[in-house]
Amino acid sequence: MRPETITVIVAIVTFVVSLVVLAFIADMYNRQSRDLVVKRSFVPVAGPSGSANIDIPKEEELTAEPAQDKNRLRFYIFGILTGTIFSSIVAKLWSLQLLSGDYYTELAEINRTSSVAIPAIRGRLLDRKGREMVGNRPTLIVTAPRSVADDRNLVHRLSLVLGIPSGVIRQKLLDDRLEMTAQRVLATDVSMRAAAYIQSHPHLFEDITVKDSAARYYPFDSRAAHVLGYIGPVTADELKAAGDDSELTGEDFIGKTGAEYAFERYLAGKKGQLVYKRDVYGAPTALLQEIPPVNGLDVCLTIDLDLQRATDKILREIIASARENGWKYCDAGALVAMDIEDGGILAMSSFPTYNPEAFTNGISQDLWDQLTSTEANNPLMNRVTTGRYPAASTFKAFTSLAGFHAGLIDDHSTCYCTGYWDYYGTQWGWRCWIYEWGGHGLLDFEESVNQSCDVFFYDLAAAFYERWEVLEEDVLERENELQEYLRSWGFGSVTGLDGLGESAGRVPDAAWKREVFADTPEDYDWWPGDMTNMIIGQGDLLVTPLQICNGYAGIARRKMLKPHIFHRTLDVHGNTLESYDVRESDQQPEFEEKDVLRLEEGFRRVVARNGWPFNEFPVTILAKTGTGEVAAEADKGTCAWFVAYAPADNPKFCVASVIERAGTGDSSAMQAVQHTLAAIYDVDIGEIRAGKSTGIGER
Amino acid sequence: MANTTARKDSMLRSQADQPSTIRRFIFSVNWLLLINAALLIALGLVVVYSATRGRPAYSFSRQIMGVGLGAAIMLLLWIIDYRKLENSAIFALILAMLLSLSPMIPGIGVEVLGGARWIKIFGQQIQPSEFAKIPAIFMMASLLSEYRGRLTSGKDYMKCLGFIVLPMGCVMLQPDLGTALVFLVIGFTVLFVGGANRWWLTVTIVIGALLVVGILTLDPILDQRFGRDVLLKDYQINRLLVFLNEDLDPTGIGFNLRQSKIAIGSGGWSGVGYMQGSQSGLGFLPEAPSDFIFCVLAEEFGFVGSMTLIGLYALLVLISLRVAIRADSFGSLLVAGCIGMWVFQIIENIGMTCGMMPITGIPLPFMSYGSSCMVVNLCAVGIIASVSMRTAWNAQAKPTMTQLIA
Repeated sequence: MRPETITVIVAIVTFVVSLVVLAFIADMYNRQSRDLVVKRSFVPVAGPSGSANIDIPKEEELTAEPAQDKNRLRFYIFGILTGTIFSSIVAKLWSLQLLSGDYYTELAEINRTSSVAIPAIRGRLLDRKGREMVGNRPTLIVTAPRSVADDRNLVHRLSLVLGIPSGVIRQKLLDDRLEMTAQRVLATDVSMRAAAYIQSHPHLFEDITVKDSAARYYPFDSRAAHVLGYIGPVTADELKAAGDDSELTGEDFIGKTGAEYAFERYLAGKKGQLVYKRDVYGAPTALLQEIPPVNGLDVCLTIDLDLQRATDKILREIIASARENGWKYCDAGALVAMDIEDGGILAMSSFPTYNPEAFTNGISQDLWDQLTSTEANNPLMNRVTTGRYPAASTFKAFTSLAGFHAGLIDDHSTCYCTGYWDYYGTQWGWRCWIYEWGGHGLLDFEESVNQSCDVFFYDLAAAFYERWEVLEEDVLERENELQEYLRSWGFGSVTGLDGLGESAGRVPDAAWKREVFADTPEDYDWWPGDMTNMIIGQGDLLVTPLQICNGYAGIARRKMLKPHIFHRTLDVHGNTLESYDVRESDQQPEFEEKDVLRLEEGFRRVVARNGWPFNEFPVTILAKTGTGEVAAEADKGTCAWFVAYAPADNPKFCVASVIERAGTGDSSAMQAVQHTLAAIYDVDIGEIRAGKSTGIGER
Repeated sequence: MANTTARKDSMLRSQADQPSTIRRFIFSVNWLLLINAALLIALGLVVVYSATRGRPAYSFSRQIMGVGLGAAIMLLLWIIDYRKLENSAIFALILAMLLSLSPMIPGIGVEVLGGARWIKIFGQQIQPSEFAKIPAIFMMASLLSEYRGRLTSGKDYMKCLGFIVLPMGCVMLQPDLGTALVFLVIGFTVLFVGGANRWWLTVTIVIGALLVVGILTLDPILDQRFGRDVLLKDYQINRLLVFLNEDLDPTGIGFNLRQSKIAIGSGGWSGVGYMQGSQSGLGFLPEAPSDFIFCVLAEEFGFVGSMTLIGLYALLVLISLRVAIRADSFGSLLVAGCIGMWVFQIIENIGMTCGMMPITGIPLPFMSYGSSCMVVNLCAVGIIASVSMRTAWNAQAKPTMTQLIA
């Protein structure tokens, strides 16, 4: 018989039974009143009126009209209604407990099973030759739930045992960045002694857990912090973003920046699981299933560990040296070296830097505040990929190619530089950087690049502006001719460095200006000055060091590639699983070989003019300087740029550097690049020394 | 005392041998009622003891304290002659409203999860809207007893409706929809047995049903229009959706219902054994000691246990109905109010745990953890006992206090 049928039958039976019971009670009541009436007929009792003799009510009257002011019938209806609903509850319980009892018992059994995740070991980060940059080391950690913060005595005891001030422990417990239910790591690298003490006194340390964990381990002195990035506990927001299917919990650590973040999918691995059965108090009774974890893969980066250590050192020392030599506001910079052939990043340094080891088991609030304070000048920021700077004269390489492409520069283009340019009238005059020392005189294109003469490029800007003015009225598809060309060299968009955090920079155009200055009509229009600013890499134009390096590598190889930092993944046996592939940029710039050769001739002259130590190298180096002016920091010093690639005939390495507030490009930034190239070619060019300009201030 | 419906107990009916005063008192007590209530409370304590294990937020001794306090107040209500309170409607209304509004008084009100339902006095947290049920019963009984079972005038009917709506509205302000519904049911039970015109009642129920449908239709529209919860809270709508479709979101909004059904169903014939319920022990029933106490009983004692409980409840209702039918007008209405309160809470609470009713936070009489509701239920027992005893006395010469003591 089907369960539904039985349910219906039980419901009907219960209903009938309850009706019978009610009827019985009703009958009992009627009989009693009848008894009473009968009895009263024999034993007259004095009524309220005082009359000794009252009429005996007839039985029909009694039923139809109760002497009391009540509605007996309604009580019966109420009772029957209640009985009916009770019956249906009984029927429902019959169905739930007896007919579906087995089904629900099974579900309750499933509820009794529980699972514990077995963490997977996070993959290591290696350099291109397989040398370890980040590894794992075992450590003992002490964790506690947030609620422990309320127990003052317990916090005090922990403070004594772990040797950490109570305030710090409380702060760690109450860390709001973590999910409410997540365990908080109170201490790492806990001594065996302290761990044993806590474990042997469970009544003193209720809810406190000591467990084995793995800490990130940095085997060499220079941490390459910005390449590697750091890990941290999953935040509530990240947990939400990961979705319900994710195996992440609030106690996991994931990569937050750098390679740790970009290659999380390889490094994380897959957690294992222990499924066991629990008794009613939650204690495990039997192991049902064990799924072993899959450890994370080791990831080899394109970084060359030796070079990375060199660039970290060079950048640090160049900035220290620049400060000694009078650039007292100089405190930050970036240095990047790229393999031109495949676009792999060989080294990437950013200064100021930090120690990623501090993050390995959750960073303390104090240190975090310190790292994010304004005085610290953003040590967590990777200035190579997210620093936005005016490109300055390094940008002239790209704007001059734009000039060739548009047909505005030809074989006979020259300019006469008086140090001052008043094409749009003296009230709109522009200075060449050499203004204070006179002018460059008559220059052809190559010499303009060498001397970095601004006037030559102002002429180019005027030519572009005139084309633009005409175009604006009729041919709109070429409205942003210059900007579109510059974008084809990778500016104004991220280069696509394997998902490392990147800035897009900015290539301003008329539409952008209209949008940004919507409220200030005087700045609303695209003026000739915007064009002249952009053409010398100033004004609203912003680039990242990576974009400049990638652009020059593009010039050198005559093709734009997407840079990458991923080299290959390795399994536990050291076998390569997945290798990088060279990816061409989606948009390729158009240029003619002869124009690029003329540009490179300009670069060659820059190197030749500077002489030593470039002439120490076994290869010919091509290079360009730049000096960016940041309006807000005009009194603190300019932004020094230098970018170089070598060898000239078969380019292999491209190195770019920017040093903030450190004067002209040929001082600090040039030394940084020279020393990097010296490390690559193993040339001894002496001590790292910056700050003194070699000439009158090469821009 | 010529009262046709007032009857003597069969033991007392014999006029020949005059029983002693104490014997008359003993025989006038409705022992059946008291034994039944005692059994229910005992069963409740047994189950609450199991449900509160491993839950530090609940204390079993506090529940016992609730029983003790309730018993004391029960005796008080028993001794007081309820008939002296026959004209207390206005007073009871004010008391009920004051109690319902007291959680909003700053200083003593305690706000938990967006609802102001508790007050804190002498360090003890109590739920005053529970206590308001007793004055509400007195109020309705007092109002209706005036009409001697014939409430036919529309004006009077509207007045009674007003008396129901006022304290109910105060509870809804907290907001506590479940308790407000208990007030509504108490009101309508007394109205019904108090002789309100059946057409008036029918019209009210139809209008009420239309109002509910209207609110449910309008609510999503208004929520969207104003961008916030206007009429009903989202969780209330969710509970209704789960009620209509049990398989909806079993890990989210449907979690409670699903787990409570698993608990009841896994009990089977005779249960998994006392203190062995994994559903409550492992925390799958979120409010096991209070709102979902029935699940604990059903899981640990099975069908046998749940039938015992329902049997005890049915007996309680039958005994009380018997008292109501025999009592005088005011007394019978008082008892009817108590029965209405119990029956609704029983049906709603057990019904919600097995998916027959939408989920609301209504405690199960005599079973659920909570001293406030324990005291209120024992008050109701006291009232019924009082009515029952005085009905018996009506048929007999009333023993005086001095006689009783002597």
